[in-house]
Amino acid sequence: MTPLDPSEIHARTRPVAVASMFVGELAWALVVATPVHEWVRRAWGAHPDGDAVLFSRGGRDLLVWLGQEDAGMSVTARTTLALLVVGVLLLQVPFGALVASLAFGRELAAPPAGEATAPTRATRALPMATAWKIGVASWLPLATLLAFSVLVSVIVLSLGGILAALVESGLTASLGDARSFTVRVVLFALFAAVAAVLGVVVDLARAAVVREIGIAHAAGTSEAGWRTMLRALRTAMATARTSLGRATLGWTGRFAVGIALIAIGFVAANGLGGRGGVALGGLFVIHQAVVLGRVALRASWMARALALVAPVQDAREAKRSSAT
Amino acid sequence: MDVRPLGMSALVVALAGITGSTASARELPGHPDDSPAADVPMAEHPACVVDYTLHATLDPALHTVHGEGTIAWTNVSSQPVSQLWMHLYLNAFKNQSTVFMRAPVGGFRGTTVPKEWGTIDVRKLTWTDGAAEHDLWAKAQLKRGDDEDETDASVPLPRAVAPGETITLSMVWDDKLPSIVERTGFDGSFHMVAQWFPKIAKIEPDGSFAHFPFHHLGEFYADYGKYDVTLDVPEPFLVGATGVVTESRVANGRRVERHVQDDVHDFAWTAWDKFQTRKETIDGVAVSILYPPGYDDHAERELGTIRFALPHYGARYGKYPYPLLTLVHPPASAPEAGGMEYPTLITTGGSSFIPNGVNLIELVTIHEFGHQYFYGLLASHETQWPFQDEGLNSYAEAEAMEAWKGKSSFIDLLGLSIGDSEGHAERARHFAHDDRVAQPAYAFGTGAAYGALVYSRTATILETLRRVYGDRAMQRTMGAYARRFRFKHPVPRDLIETFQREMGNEAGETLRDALFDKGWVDYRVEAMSSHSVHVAAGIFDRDGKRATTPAAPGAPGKYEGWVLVSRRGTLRIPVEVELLSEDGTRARVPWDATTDSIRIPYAGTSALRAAVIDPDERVLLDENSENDFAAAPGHAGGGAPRTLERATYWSELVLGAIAP
Repeated sequence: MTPLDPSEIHARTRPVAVASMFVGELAWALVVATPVHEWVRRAWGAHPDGDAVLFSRGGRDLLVWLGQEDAGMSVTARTTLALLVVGVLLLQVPFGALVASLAFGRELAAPPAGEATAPTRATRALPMATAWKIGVASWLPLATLLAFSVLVSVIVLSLGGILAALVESGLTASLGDARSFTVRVVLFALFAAVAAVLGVVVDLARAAVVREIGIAHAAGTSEAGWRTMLRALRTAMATARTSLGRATLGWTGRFAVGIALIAIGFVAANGLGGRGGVALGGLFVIHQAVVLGRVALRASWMARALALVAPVQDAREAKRSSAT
Repeated sequence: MDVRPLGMSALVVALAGITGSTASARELPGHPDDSPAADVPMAEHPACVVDYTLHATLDPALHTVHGEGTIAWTNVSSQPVSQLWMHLYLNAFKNQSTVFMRAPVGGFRGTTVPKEWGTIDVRKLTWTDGAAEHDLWAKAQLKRGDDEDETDASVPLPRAVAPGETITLSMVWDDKLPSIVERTGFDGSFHMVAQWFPKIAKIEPDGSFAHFPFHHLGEFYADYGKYDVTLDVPEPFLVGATGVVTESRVANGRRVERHVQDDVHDFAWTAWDKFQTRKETIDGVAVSILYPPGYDDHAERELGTIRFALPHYGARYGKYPYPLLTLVHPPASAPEAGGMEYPTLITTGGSSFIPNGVNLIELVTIHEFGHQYFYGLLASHETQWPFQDEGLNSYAEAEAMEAWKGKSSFIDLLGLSIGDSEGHAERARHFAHDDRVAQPAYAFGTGAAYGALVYSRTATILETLRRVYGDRAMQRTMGAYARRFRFKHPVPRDLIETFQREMGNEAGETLRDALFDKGWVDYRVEAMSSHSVHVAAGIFDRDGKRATTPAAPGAPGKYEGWVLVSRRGTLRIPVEVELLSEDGTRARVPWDATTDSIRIPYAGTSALRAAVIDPDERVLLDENSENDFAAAPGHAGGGAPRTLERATYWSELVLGAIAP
């Protein structure tokens, strides 16, 4: 097992890892969807048209269903939320495995004596079992980084929301409420952009964490998770100092493509409406293609993050080794 | 939905003795034009009872209005009148002891305590009777007993006014406008001036006055007449008001406009130095819109609504009779001024960002415009019978929105489709057993119940009648009511009788029960069974002999059975029941619902698979549509695969977004 050179890190070379992440998400999404599905099935499943009635224009049955005063809505919503939180935490493992798979490879055996050697190292993907081991080992720091990221985003967005509301309030008398509302939206969008950039930095830290743990795993050493995480954060900050523009650009492009994919999924769903049978099957395929595409985009982004982090991390490691 | 009748369905219905017909069969014969009630006579003008000539001066810094003027009032009753009643409704905001402020009502508009109180002080009220000038205000009584409310004043007269006699009163008064509350007041330099002048209560034919304090949930009731009002505001202020501008001048830093309008029963106006304006002639009516800066899109949406509404309502309820219509979109900081109606002037509303597809702007505009008919031209007693204005108008709003926007008349965004009628039905459903719809506004316990029952329940009752008895029958009925009682202050009996006459006793009774007796209905599929047709097995004593017939397999392709359907509740609304067979055929069976239940026979070429009551969702009053269907024993329904697919997909997106 060896860390890959930045030029060797590409998501397209790791289709199995990408597919594993996709399957993991799909599996847990089915679990998350179960309460609401069961709720609808019990209420409307006996209708000869099934839950198609909930998709009919005018929305009468949809409103009746959502307007029931029993505990169905509350129980389903809370259960779904809890399953989402659990899923978000659990999925850090396959995510760690995906990043590990992107960051590391196995060197092929040296060619027999006398044969020409390849101009660059020839590597193969890590065995998935090894990648998952690193994923499991990375879970705690990744989950902590995720919590940290969510917390920071909430703080930034809350501050943005409050400040934007105050500015709007202050400008209403002079600009009118429509224009001052526009100012509010723009100001909040700026804070959202800041939150996104901070998210990019956290992603760099995620990449650094998995790479650190993978290197330790290869060396047969281990270190406390929080120590690894702090070092990864420092690496991310150092990377951001030199490459924040490139990183943000790389993330933004993929983010935009991801939004476009969602739009395609929306158009398909809107066009097919509440139809069942083959149309529903087709929609499922389109939606899953959208999700697979987004997983691939995330893998591509993490590959980019790894490529940016690796030199910084290696330099810091070299410096630390020489110091000791 | 593709509906193929079973070959034997007609026979089945005949054998079952089921009477009734489908909704389409209930349609009245069509009329050649688009106005099935166009032949119903309609008054051109009301009886003129009051003639107000007023002059008002606005001080926007102090938020005061100084008023002077005269009222010519005619006793149109059959009895001599020795006492007048005057409404001083700005006093509703004078202190926390008024009837309005102390009402324990939440869940509706006007629930905030105004930051600045509002008052109306009459300085002078005199009657010049021949050579004598009587000071009427000296003996006026504003309060009764320990009640602090001063919104309903009695004014004794020095002599009785004979039936048919006209008297002229002179008056001077001062308004202190409240910070915006319950449709009136100021917000910064924006002023919405409503319920602002001493107004004589409506006199009834028996000589009594329909006088009442300003109730929290109540609205208004007044006599028709002529309003000639001169408004004097600072020059930078634009004015919107009831009535046609007959004079306009700017001098000495003041803008003076004279507005004159016949055949109306109130006068309201607004003034703001930030108004933007657009004008357009629509269907022969000069439409103006006053709106805040930056609301050009809203203004266009509101004008677009009126482009549809004027001809649509004209065809449905008779031509709009006034030469002008003014729309006022208040600033977002003054939402209490929005969503209100006055003669020839309506206020709309909505924050600056409401995306296309959420038809809130259109809905509010069309609702307030509809009041020009039910509040303005019919002028029922809104406080006593609020459903006759707000309820009928909510029905008209939903009908118009659907005619304009289709089934997704409220929301058509991101794949979500919600109809206005469906929204009303759902809102009303939760309050169906709480209170009567037809009762005074002040009798409702909460604003939420008032809103749900008066607005939404009435709209749902009428929409149900429209869907069950047919669109043209409903057009004819509502059109006849609106035309026959134009300018006549109809009471509930007039409405019920119109439905009985135009739509039939059955519909009239349904309407009466639903409005006055908390009428409700819930249909339910109780059970069903079907089997192949076979010779009855068992021991039979026939012609003195006992014979045993063995069980035998049924004849192929011949099935019989039944579906048991029940109706709970007090309303008997005809409904259709759809029977679905295993081979995919569907048959509709009408049921008049006059009994509590019915066992509908089934005969077909395959076994019964399921039954659905009211498959076209005509009976929006049905309390629970989740029991309107059932699958036959041993059969599954359609399940919920769409929900599973969508929920899974959205879960994946959320998981991917939070945990990259």
